[in-house]
Amino acid sequence: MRKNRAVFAVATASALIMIATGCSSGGGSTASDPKAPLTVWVDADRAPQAQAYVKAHPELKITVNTVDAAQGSNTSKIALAEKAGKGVPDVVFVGSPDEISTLSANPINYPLALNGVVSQKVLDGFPKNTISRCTFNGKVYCLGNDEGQTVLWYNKAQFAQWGYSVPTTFDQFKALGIKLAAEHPGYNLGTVNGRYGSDAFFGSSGCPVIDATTVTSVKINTASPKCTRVGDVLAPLIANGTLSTLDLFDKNYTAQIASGKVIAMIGASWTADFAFKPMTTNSGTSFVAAGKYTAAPMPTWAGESTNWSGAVGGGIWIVSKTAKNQKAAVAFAVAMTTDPTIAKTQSTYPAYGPSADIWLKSKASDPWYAADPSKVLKTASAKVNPADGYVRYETQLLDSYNATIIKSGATDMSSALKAWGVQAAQAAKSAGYTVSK
Amino acid sequence: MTTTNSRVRRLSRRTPAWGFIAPYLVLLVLFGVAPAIYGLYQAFIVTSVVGDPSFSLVQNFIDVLSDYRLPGSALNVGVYLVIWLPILLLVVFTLALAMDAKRTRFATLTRFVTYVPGAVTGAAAALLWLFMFSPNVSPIGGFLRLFTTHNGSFLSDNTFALVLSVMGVAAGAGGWIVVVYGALTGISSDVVESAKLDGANAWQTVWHIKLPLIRSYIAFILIVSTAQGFQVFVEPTVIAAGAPGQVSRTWSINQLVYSYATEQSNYGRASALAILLLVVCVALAVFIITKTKFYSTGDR
Repeated sequence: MRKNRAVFAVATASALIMIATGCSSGGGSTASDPKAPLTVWVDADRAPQAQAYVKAHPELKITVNTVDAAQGSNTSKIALAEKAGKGVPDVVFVGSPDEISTLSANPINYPLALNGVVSQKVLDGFPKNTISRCTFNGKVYCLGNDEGQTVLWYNKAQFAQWGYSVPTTFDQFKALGIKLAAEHPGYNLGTVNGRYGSDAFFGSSGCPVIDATTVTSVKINTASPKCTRVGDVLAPLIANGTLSTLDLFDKNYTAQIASGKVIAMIGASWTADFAFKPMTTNSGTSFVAAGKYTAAPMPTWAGESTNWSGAVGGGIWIVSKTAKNQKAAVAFAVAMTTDPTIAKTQSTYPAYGPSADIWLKSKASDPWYAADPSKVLKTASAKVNPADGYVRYETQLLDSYNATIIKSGATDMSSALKAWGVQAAQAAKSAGYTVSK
Repeated sequence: MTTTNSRVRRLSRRTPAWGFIAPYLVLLVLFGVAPAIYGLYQAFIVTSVVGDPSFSLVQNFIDVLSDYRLPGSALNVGVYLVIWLPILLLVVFTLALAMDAKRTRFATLTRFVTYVPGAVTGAAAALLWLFMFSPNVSPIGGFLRLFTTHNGSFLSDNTFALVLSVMGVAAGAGGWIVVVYGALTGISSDVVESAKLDGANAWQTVWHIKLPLIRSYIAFILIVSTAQGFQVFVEPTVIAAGAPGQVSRTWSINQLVYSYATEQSNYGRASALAILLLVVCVALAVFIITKTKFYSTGDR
């Protein structure tokens, strides 16, 4: 009896293992079936454009699934779908673009290489930096939906009232922060938590922490002057409170934006539309933001001749290499990024050059801005620091950035930078990279 | 002939029993045993960025044990257990023994009131406590503000163990109080009375009579709570969302397991760490069981 039970248990278990492992080998198909239906995954912000495309193409059977856009969520869902052998989306929008590095590596190997499938003319329409970040082993695996290039957002009216001039270098930015703390305590120049510090400040400076040279090698060196010069600016301003260490969407920080306490911010192209505008509208405070904010060019880091931008976010479209109707899947991704009608309804700065020009027209005439931000945004889009790349340890990197530089409250910046570098190198090694300085 | 007969009789006697446990057994095998065996198998599969996955008995275990995040996560969980477990046991036994000593209507009401917070479980409870620990909306906001960090946030890696302990006691104590109270009412009144006749005061009755008699319940609470504490996941995940960027995403060991599986798509390492966690919990359970003579039936 006991023996039988054991045999039964082992048999059941091994049968289950066979089922589970048998499903994990997803076959790749290259032949395109024009009648096969499409499944696309988008986030809530991209759903209207996808639905519009479905309406305009009744000949295609497209299912649009609105999925959670949290960091890593798409990657884990796709990995599980591949393991299950079904439910893998043909096209997916990913809001945290670094996920492409994980999606294109083992064991997922999800994306289709777009060279040759998407015309060179279309690829050439994207800024070089968005294409290069999507390129792994010489192949382009994603199309930029929008760009998160950073600029200096500032309250023009407040600057004029207090007689402040817009900083053009980060030394001036630092001096402004020291002056602001002395003259108007309680006001601040933005936040440096997580990606708002790591991507916007360290990223624009070209601090080598995500500088991937190949899919298995990366340069990390937080002792580089490109990192320490950022630390020199951040330390006194975090200490005097003019740079906040709260997340941009932390309730404690949105309250500061709502009441007009944030007079400037090194922020992504979407900062006005997703932070300043919504957080100051119907916020219950007497502060009126309309007609006050606009964008100024990024300040230049000491020793640089170009005022590089960082990139905070910026979504991407990825086509599955197992898409049955490959032609339609590619056409969908191309339309989402390059279609002029869709460009008008985009909620964020389109990565594709001609689309960006269309989108910027609406910004140029928007009375909410104190001055037309379109030229500044356009210029910054071509200046994202090339040391910026998509790596498989981005999440861990941001977590350790917060655990070292943010948590210490900038009391000892040099040891915090060192600790960050050590953790970043360990995270990179753990993700399969060889780390060099 | 006789042996066959007795076997048939035994089988027919067992059939209803099998009928009762069969539904559970099926679910246990499908969602408990089989995934566990699959997890064990996965723990030996090493995923590399380039090339095919390979088999190794130790590689994934070495990788997770040398992960720079593990010491921090283990320390967090350790501190949490050290704060939470003693407070939980103290609260549970103090209240249950007090209710047992004075079986009034007030005691019944107390038992109900302490149970209510436990009725809100998991993610919902975490969300509730998220409000409690957000200085701007919390009824004890003024008090919390005394402990905020340099950026005005209350939740941080440093305060997190304490926050989870308070939440864990409030949410978990009620259920255990009901269980322990039930165990105490099961003690024969003859025993307690004879202890009193022998001159034992209330404290001596508790210490020498009641607690030894419900020893196995103490062990059970310890085993379940230790395992629960080691695997803490939902609470830190939900509560950390209330303070984005202030608390590590891999604060607890189980969050690190989750990070391997979801953020890094490395099921091998996730399984390896999960197995190590299981080994620790089982070892502790065995220790508690032997120390408290959990399974001994006589000699009580």
